[in-house]
This record gives sequence, structure tokens and C-alpha cells, in this order.
Amino acid sequence: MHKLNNQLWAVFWTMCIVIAVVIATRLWAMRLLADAVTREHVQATLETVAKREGWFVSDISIRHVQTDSVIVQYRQHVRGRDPKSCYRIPLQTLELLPCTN
Amino acid sequence: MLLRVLIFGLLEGFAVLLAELHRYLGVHTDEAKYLINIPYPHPPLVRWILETTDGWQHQEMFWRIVFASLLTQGTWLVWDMARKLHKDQRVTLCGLWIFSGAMLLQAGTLFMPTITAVQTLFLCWMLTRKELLKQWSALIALLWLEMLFTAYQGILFAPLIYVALLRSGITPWKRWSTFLLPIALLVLYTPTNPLTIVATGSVSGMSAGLPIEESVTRVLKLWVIGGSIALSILGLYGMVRSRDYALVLTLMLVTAYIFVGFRSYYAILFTPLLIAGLLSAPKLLKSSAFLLALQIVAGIAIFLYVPFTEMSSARSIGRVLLEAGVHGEILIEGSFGHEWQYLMPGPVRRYRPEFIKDASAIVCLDRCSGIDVNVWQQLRNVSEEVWVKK
Repeated sequence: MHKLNNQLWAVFWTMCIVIAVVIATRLWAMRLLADAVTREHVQATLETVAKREGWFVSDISIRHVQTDSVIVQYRQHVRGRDPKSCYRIPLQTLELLPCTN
Repeated sequence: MLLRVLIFGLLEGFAVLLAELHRYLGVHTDEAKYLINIPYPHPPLVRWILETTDGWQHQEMFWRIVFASLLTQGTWLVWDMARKLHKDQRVTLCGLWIFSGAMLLQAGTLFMPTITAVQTLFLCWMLTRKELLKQWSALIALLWLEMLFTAYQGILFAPLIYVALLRSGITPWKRWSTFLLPIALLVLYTPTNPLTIVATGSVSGMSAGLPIEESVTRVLKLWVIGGSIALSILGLYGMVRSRDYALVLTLMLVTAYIFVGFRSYYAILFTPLLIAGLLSAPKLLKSSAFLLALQIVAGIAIFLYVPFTEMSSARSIGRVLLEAGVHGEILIEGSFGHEWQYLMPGPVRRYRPEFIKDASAIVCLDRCSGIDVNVWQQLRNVSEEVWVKK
């Protein structure tokens, strides 16, 4: 019983480390959002694009923030497999460019 | 043994009944968020688990039964928590749990406070089992991590978690790191999901314009529903009288949270705390038969009196569109919730005249403009204005 408890503790610490690594990776990709001006700019960009495309803001997730653009994943939440697409949105033109470009 | 199987069956039957009731009432916007893993407002653990069954036809009903069963079968934990009491008192305490207004109104719904309430009940049970706390200290650590990554309101139960870790006999360094590390992870997680911040801001702003007396009345209403009056009063009195400071502090945190960001389905957060409160002063369970009768009457009265959320027309329209063979994009004009995303047979997009050419159907909850009647035909005998391509 003592051994199993120790193993569960190991599971706990491992889970904490895994979660920390995942969060740190995402935080690093979004580090530019720490700047209030960039944050407001990105927010305005996403709201404008969502309105223009008829998207829900909750279907957009930010993948990476760069100085001149933001990379997002658009995921239509439906029953079954969700259609997903990746776009790079330049903060000046607000075009939707496929991530490969 | 036979009696136990019978009680298990009865509790399960009760859970299925309540789940069926809520299935009939329809999918609430917040439930849809969890069923299809829309990434806000809560952390991802449970909504990710729910999403794994997303493509399954019976997903909604399956999880409604699971959520309801967790609450009704929680009766076994209540039974064990009261193991030192007389049999009549144990039965009464279980009855107080089963017939609390929150249980009758919320078992079968797919809201995160239901899971938080089950986690809290488990925690309160562990606190009554000191030998288990020492043998299985890791369970508290895992429960804490799970509570926080299920829903933000998990943080409200920090005082109880801390007491559990204290009683588990682990070293102070391990105790503090186990207590603080999951909180730190949750704090770090939050900015990675900007929607969470926006949603949390809107929830906390909900009570901002209300007169203070109205906010207090709403909290009191949930407290009454949470314990069906008898348990509400005795549970609170019990925890204060027994000077169970961790329980009192937790109740205060839950109250403050509801005061700031009211949701009618937060009532269930009170119930396990009130059970633990009453258990800490068991002398209050003297006239147990009278208490149980009172609880049953009050619970049923609350169930009949408190109105359920208004049904959305999304399910009936989804069915009509499916029968009409619609599988492509559906445009919706007007204000609508996430249940439309869950119940429509295809992806949903906000209506704009320039999107019409790519759409398969249009639902006008408000007035739509620019629909060409030569291309589109309106469906008859439908509760809303619905158009499909000719």
C-alpha cells in the first residue's frame, strides 16, 4: 500500500512537470502578448477577422504571436471530427494566409 | 449484500430519471461548451474527457447519466462519513443529501459545479478517514490537481485541501509544494487561453450593476436550494458550532464567489459542505425522522417551484434540418448560444448576406435580409424562420 502511494506521488509530480512543460511552450509562443499594446492589437485583429468571416471568437485559438502577425487555428466546433485550419494573419492587412506561406 | 445491490439500483434508477429529465429540457449553452470542448471558461480536463465521445450519438445522455450517478452514488460516501452515528441518523443524513434541492435540480446537468461538488464530497469523506489520509496522501495531491484543472471554482476548496494535506502527515516542504504547485500551474495556464480571461471578466461583472440586496437574495436562494432549508440551516449551524474553521472559510469563499459571479447551478457547491457541517455537530440529528420528512417535502417543493432554464429551439430545428438532408454550413442570424453549435447537423456561422452562396441552411432568429426566394425555400411548421436551398 505504501509502495502504491509512492507510485501515485510519482504520477502527481510527473503530471505537474508535463503540464508545466506544455504551458511553458504555449506561454513562450505567446510571450509578445505580455505587452499591453500588442495584446490590444491582437484582440482587435481577431475580433475584426471573426466578424468579417462570421466566425465565433471561441473557435479561434492563438498559436503564435509575432511582431507583424498572429498565427491562429480556426476550429469549427461540431459533433464528430472538427474541421481545423491554420492561418497567419498580418496585423496590418488582416488577410487570412494559410500557415504554409 | 442484497440490500446494497438494491440500494445501488435504486440510486442508479434515480440518476437515470433525472438525466432523462434534463435531456428532455435540452442542452444549455454552457453544457454544449463542455460537450464539444469549446475552450472557455474552465480549464480543459473534464471538457477534454467529454469531447473524447463527441462523435457518439448518445454522448449527451451518457454523460448526463454519469454526472447524475456520481452525485446519487455519492450517498455511499455520506453513509460512510456518518459511520459513528446511529443507523437512523445515517439514513437521515443520506436522505438530506439525496433530497437536497440542488441534487434534484442539478443531477443530470452537465455543469462543472456538479463535478466539483462530487470532488468536494470525496474530500470531506477523506477528512473523516484519518487512517486513509495517511496511507493515501497522494490521492489528495491528485484530487487537488484534478479539482483545479476541472474548473476554476476548485480553488475555493483550498482550505479543506490544506487541512487534508496537514493531516496526511507529509513533510512541510512536500505539503506546501503540493498545495502551491497546482495553483501556480493554473495561474500560468490562464494567460495561455485569453478567452478564459474575457469570460472570467464577464462572469465577475454580472453582479456589478445589481443592488447589494438583490445579490444577497440570490446567494441566499442558492444556499436554500443547496440544502433544502433543513440541511442549509443545520449544516451552517453545525460547522460554526463545531468551530470547523476550514469548513467555515470554504463556505465563505463559495458564498463570496457566488455573490460576485452568480450562476443558478452553483447551488450544488453548498451541498457537500453543509453535509460535512452537519456531521461535525451530529447532536443536531436528534429528531432524524422529522428532519428527513421535512427534507423530502422541501426538496420536492423546491424541485416544483424553481423554474428550469427555458428550452432552446435548437434541438427541434436541428432535427428538422437533418430530416431535410442538410449537412453543410448553417448560417444563423441573431443572438444564440453554443447549443446551436452542438445540435445543428453542420458547422455554424454567423449570418451575413455574402455567405449565403456557400450555405446549406439559414436560421433567422432575427430578421434576415438578402434571401433570394427563387433559390431558397422557407420550411413550414417550424418554431423559427428556417430556410433551406430549393
